Amino acid sequence: MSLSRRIAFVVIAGLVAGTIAHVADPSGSTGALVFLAAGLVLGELLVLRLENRTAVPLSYPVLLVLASGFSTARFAGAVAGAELISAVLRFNDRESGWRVQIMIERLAVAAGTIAVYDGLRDVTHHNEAVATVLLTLGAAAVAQLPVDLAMRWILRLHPTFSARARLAWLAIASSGMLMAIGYRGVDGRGQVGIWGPLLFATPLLAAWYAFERLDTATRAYDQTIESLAMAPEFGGIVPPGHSKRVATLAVAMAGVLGVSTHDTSDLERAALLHHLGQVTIDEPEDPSRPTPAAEVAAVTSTMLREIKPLAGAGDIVAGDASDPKRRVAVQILRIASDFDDLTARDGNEQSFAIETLRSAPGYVYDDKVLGALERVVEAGHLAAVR
Amino acid sequence: MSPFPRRLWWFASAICAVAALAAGLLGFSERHQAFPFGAALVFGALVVFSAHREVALPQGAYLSPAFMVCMAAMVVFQHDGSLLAPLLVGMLNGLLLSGLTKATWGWIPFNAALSGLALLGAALVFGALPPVMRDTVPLALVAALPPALTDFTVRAGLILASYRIELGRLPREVVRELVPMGVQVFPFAMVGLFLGRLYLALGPTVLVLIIVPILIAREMFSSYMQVKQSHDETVQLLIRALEQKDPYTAGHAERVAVYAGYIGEELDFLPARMDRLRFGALMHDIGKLVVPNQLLNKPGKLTEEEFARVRIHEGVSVQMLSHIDFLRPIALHAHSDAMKFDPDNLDHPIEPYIIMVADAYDAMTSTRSYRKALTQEVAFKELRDKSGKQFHPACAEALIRAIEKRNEVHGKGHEEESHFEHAPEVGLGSAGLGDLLPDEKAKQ
Repeated sequence: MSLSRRIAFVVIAGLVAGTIAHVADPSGSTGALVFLAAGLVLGELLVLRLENRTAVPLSYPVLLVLASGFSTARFAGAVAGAELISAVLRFNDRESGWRVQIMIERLAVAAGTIAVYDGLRDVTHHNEAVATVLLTLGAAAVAQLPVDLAMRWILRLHPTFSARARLAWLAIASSGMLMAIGYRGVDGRGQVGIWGPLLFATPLLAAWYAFERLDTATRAYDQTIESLAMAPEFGGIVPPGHSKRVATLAVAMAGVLGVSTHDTSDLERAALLHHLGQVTIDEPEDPSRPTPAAEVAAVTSTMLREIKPLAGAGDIVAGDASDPKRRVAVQILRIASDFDDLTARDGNEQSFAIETLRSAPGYVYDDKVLGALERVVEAGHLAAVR
Repeated sequence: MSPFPRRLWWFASAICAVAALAAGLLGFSERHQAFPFGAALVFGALVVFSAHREVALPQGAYLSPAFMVCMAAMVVFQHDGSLLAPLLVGMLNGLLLSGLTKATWGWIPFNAALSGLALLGAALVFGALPPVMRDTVPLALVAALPPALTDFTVRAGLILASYRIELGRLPREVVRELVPMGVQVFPFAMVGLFLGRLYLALGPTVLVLIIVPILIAREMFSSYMQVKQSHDETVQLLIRALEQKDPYTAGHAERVAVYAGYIGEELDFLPARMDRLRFGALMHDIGKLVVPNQLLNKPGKLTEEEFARVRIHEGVSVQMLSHIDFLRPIALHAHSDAMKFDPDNLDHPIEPYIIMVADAYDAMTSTRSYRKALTQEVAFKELRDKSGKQFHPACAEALIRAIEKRNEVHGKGHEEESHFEHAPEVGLGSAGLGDLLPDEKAKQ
């Protein structure tokens, strides 16, 4: 079932169930609880996508509304029911193990939210001063972050706290607080019931839309570069998978050497495209005398430097070491590419390849960068690529 | 921001005079009551700040936190019994200072007066509503409609008049452009109204809580626009690589993308689909990257072996384009056999057919190594003759219609540049495209 169909199903089912619950219990809050539980499921389907296939769900603000508006027992019932339905609705998303992990993570965050909210309400003796309520809600919203990161770390779900992740969490926390205040009010003031979360979710939905667009565009951009990187492989110039393997190895080495995110991004693109220029050069008449690597690098770097977002990658491919930061990136690319040639193309053992690189004259390969290669190889980071 | 037109001076002056008169009258009538300075300062600052932070939505719509803040301010000032405050805060909504130059400053008083009068109208209507409607949920949701409509009507009416005076545009045309704005007004008005209620109950903190996600949405949109631009520029890398390999293709990919865009417009494609079509057209020859230069530029006939090697590029194009998620639906049909029109295959996406028509039209109307460009008439005739057989009829007709509508002429005598000055008038095949001479084709 497509995402839009799942969303439509949850909206319709939530409206029907909520209306029935409201009719059955007109003076109580069961109807609102059912509507919010549906909102929780909807929030599980709509996520703010971050890097590395991670995401923050829009269900977290709804948890705050539920925690602040209902008893612990009703909160637990709504969360358990919503998470079970969400698990069923994720039936065609990745493998079952991942679905279980996600469910555990979400339940942990829900538990963290209610524990902090109820705990602080008890500590403040259920004080209804505006500042106290806002601080309590803020603390419960902030508590979701460490619980989420800790669970991701435990469950190996790529915890991330990048710049984009920080903004996502800020949007989630501020919207959750506003939605909760709208639902419960403070000391009987400002309460607008179920309309509060509904209306005050609008800015968050705008943020969701923006995150979606950014994610789609970033993926398309990355895939276009990967697609271009395949050209020398399809042309039989380099072994299949060479560019991708070199890029993965280079990024891992950059991580070990503490290269900045921006420079790592340039390095990754350089690694993916470092043979692209060769497709524009005439085939040598004598196949036993391939085009010199320096000529390929020169042609490729000229092409890349003409394109603004790829100019940094062009400098790296050109071997431009005038900037000390670039010098490390240039060395990483050279070592990663030569290492892949020795292992994948020539079929040598990794240890032999490293030994070969180490035995080259000192001015060819930087000792520190070779050390990073050894650490990456020892850590087994290449297993997934090979 | 475009320079302020002289034709609009008297109209803008009249609007400003009305706003100034309203401010004077309201100031006089409210002289005995306390002006809500604190709230006016908070909302005024927030309106100016948020007016500069619009979020672009699809279909050319914008999400501006400023309108929400104005609606919230209207609720707060209605509670304080002031009409002067919404007029002044509304005027601040027109203070769009970005891109301001000497030639454009005239827009400031015009926009300020227009926005102020619109919010004053909304506040008057909101104040006239029965209290039960303003204060009871869910009736308060409906209460958002009259002031929102008033704000929109005043604003749209004045914009309509200014367009009429400045450009002589028909009201119907302008209304069509303004309707999407009107549709988004109501939900934001509801949020604004409830925000105002929360402000009255809890103070200014709530304003921060709603502005934060909107600013983050804007930040993400900026990043999205940057990535999109980088993507566009990166596709240029492919185009340049192809042009280096095969000089005939200079400008070919861009022209195919333009023609494909014409067809997409004629077929009422939505922006997302247009985007996919454009990228598909720009990248349709990506597989040629793996064809050796010597073969692409071979002036004479191709041997069987060479022909087979050149044909590989189509399969490679499919594989390379399939790697890009959003192009995959059309990439799977990017093979020349699959691009030929097949009326029985109803599941076939139309984009590959469009690209084939655009590609063929550009091939016919541009000079190549083996022959000069054909005239536009010949190209149109060829498209029509093969419509329903080789070309999708709707796509072929859409391209002809779009080009005629634009009064464009392509082909012989109308090319911008040609790399093949000495190409023969009549040619038989293109080595670059992997074509064989007719007798070789027959053998195939």
